[in-house]
Amino acid sequence: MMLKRFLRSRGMRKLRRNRMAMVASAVIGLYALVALFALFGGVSLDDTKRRVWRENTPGFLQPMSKEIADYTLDWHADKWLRPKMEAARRASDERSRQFSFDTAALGQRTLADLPGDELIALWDEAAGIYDEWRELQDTADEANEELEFFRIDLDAERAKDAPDQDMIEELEGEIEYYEGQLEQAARAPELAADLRAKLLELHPVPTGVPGMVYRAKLWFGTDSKGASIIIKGLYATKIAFQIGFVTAVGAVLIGTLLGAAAGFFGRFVDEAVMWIVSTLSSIPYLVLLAVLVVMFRGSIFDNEARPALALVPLYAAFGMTFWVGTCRVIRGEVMKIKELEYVQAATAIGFARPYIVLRHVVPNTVHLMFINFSLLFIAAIKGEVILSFLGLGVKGQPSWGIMIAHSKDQVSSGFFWEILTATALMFGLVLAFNILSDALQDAFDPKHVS
Amino acid sequence: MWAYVARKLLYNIPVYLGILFLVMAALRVNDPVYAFLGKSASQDIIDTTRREMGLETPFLFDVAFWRGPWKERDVGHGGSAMVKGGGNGRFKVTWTAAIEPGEYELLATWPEMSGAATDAGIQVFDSARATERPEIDQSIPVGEGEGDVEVGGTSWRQFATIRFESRTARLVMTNKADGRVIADAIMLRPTEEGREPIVLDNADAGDDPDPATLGEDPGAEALGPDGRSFEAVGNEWTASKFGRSLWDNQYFAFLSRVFTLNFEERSWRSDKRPLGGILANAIPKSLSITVPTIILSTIIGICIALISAYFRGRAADRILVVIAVFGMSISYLVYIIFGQYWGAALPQQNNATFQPFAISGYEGWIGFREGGEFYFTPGMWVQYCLLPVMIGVVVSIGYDTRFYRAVMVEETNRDYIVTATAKGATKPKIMFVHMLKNAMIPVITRVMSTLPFLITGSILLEMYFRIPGMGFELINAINSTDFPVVQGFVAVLAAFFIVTIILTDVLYALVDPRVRLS
Repeated sequence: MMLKRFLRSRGMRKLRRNRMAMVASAVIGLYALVALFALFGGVSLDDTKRRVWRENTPGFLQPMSKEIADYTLDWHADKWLRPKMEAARRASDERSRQFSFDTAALGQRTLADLPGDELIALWDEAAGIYDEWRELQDTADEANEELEFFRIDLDAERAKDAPDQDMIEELEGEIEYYEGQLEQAARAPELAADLRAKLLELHPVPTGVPGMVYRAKLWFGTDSKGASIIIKGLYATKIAFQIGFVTAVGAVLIGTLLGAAAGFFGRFVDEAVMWIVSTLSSIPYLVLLAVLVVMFRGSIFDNEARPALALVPLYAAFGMTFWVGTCRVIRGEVMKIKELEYVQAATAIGFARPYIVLRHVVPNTVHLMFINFSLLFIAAIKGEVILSFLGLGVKGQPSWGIMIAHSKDQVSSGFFWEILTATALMFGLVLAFNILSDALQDAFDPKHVS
Repeated sequence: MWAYVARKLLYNIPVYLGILFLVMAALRVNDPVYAFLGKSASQDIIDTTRREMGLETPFLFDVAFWRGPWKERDVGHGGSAMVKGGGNGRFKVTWTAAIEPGEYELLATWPEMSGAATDAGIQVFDSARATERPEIDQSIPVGEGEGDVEVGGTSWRQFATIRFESRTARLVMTNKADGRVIADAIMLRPTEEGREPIVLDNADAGDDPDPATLGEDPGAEALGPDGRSFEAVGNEWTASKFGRSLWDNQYFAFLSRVFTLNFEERSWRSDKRPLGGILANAIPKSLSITVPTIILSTIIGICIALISAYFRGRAADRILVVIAVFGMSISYLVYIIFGQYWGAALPQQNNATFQPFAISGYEGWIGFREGGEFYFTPGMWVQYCLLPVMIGVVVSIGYDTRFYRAVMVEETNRDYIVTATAKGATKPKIMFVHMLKNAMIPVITRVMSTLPFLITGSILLEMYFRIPGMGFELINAINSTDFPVVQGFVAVLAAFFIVTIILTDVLYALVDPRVRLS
């Protein structure tokens, strides 16, 4: 009833004509869909921790240089598959061998569906190629290094006033030898291609839907533990919505009720509420948040193994600090509304005062509730990032704050995918809410100076 | 005006009391001593630490009356036993007996009860000297355990053998256990032949001991007529029975320290620095970041806002607004991470010739050396503080611009602008002379409202650049459960906040003759 009247109001019509606001609402709706998808099991917590490829893989936009491609191949054959396949070879019974094969899976990418012996035979071939390739690369590296030194020596010898002819010949011989070595090593890319083909045979990229899912997981690269960044980002969207929605709804409700009570009843109710409000707002907001989070330390909510409960300290801290602003705004508005004719009429008819507050006063502050909701939503998302950086925020699960705070070391080594993914996702949502709250303010409260 | 200030100050006293109460209470939801020492600390260390930190008094009043002291049950040896649920060990019972020096076997008996503790510890004191703290598994009923003996028709379990040098034996049982702790009777059986065992029952209550000597010298405690005593200390509840006044608590102790400006309380961390020293060290560091940030961002914000308002509705205005909104939608942390990367880390990695900024850290740039010699090295400020300041300015400009633009736009609709235009004043003159002066009130409000954060500093900037200012110290204190520092900092910050609020009102009256302080 209250909402229906609000949706039909003049401000709402004005808002609907605002194209930017409508686009922003659509974006928020999209995010909400993603969050709902994650909430109903689309992205599980295990997914965000499961390894899908090597650490710090760049995402789709960054072309792979030869060094990175070689490094990836080396990682795949030597670091990832070798221990698992050797364990499978040593396995005493079929079950433990199958277990070793299973551990080689990277997300949806499992070993080829072949009998165990064939898999091991394939691995032996691949390992042979790998060893040869590795050796060639080592020779090439060594040859390059030696050649550089010998060339410098040769130039130095030739530049002398009386060059030692024997020395020059010896040096030239060495250079010739190493150039020969380099020529042999030129076969390395061929071998690499062979190895890649073998590994693809042994450990194929799946086809069909699992293949699409697997490739999608690599779109934005992987984090420092090899887990998919986009999956983490999607899961973090859910966390952001949980934190934003719960705290904003809680804070707006508390703020509205206390503010309306303070504004309408006045006197000691007003004094009491304003005392709490000034108390809370006299402590710097981050300090208050930190102290409130500390309050929950050591309780059942401080448990990484139970991620749903681990968010409760954040809800409580944000909820307890954020209602103050809403309370002030609503109180001011209610003090104005209190003097209006319809409230006086209701009083004259003889309605009980609590009834008048809930029936006639609070419904006329709905627009302020919506404006405050979107402002607090933004504040909660931003606050989460800061608290997570300070080690007081989300624990045991990825959030945008955790992603940003943990990518500090990645940034200093030049890997930006994780921080940029989290920032981009957050940017979209916060921008949409910023635009929406501005539009709401323009539509309902045009005189307000933000 | 002075009357106004005085009234405002009086009005804010309850607010200030509320702030201190809120913060102290929040820090005491979990026992601070436990949080500080960790779970593995022994009861002895916990007790001494609690005494040293002045935390043995209650926070405000005693909570024992709802937690309940030891309960007496009509079962067990001598017809009664004391029972207390397992907890943090602040509830104790003490058996004291006058004995002949020598070696004694200690035995205990207790009635069978559900949920009994498996690790009920008994601290044995030889006079005032702590000896051992054997643990008893009370979940196994006496008589069923290994090595249980029967003496005089009762089953006993031996749990320790102790040699007493003095003539007083004291056994203290606490409720630091994983279940119910049952305190009934203890027997001291001499190992030498021919001497009688001494039985201490909870019914052997002696006279009330003097609280002043409690835990100090049990030899001085009044023992019962037969040289034995038993007492159950139900936390401070019993202590308050001994005449603790209503004001003798942590809250009022802290209040009296705050109002007498006593900052001698020491940090709990190993260096044990006094609070005053920490504050004196940290405040200048925070100020050297925040003062330039606020000045720069206010000036730049007002300039951009004026430009924006001048071109209101045109492309320049729109672009500025869009940039401001975009900038506000990115997390502060991202600015810091990339600011440090591009400003300091990348030049260092590339061995660039121009490396003006340090990656992190702080070096004093203005002040007095230990000898009293004044020094001033702006180069140090540039190296350690300029990069954080620039990041801070970039972040706050978005918010400032939006706010100031809204203020300016609001002012352009006023009548006096119309009058000035009609009079023929040029647009720049209207903007910068007429409007700016009138827009000063919101500007002052905003600047003043940021002043309290001058000394908090920007917590994030300080944490990231490891500048040991107020914010850095505060967050570290919170993370290492260094509660005296947290409380002291909040007390100072809140006082500063209240003072600035009052100052703001006074400034209004000075700037705007229309405002009357009443």
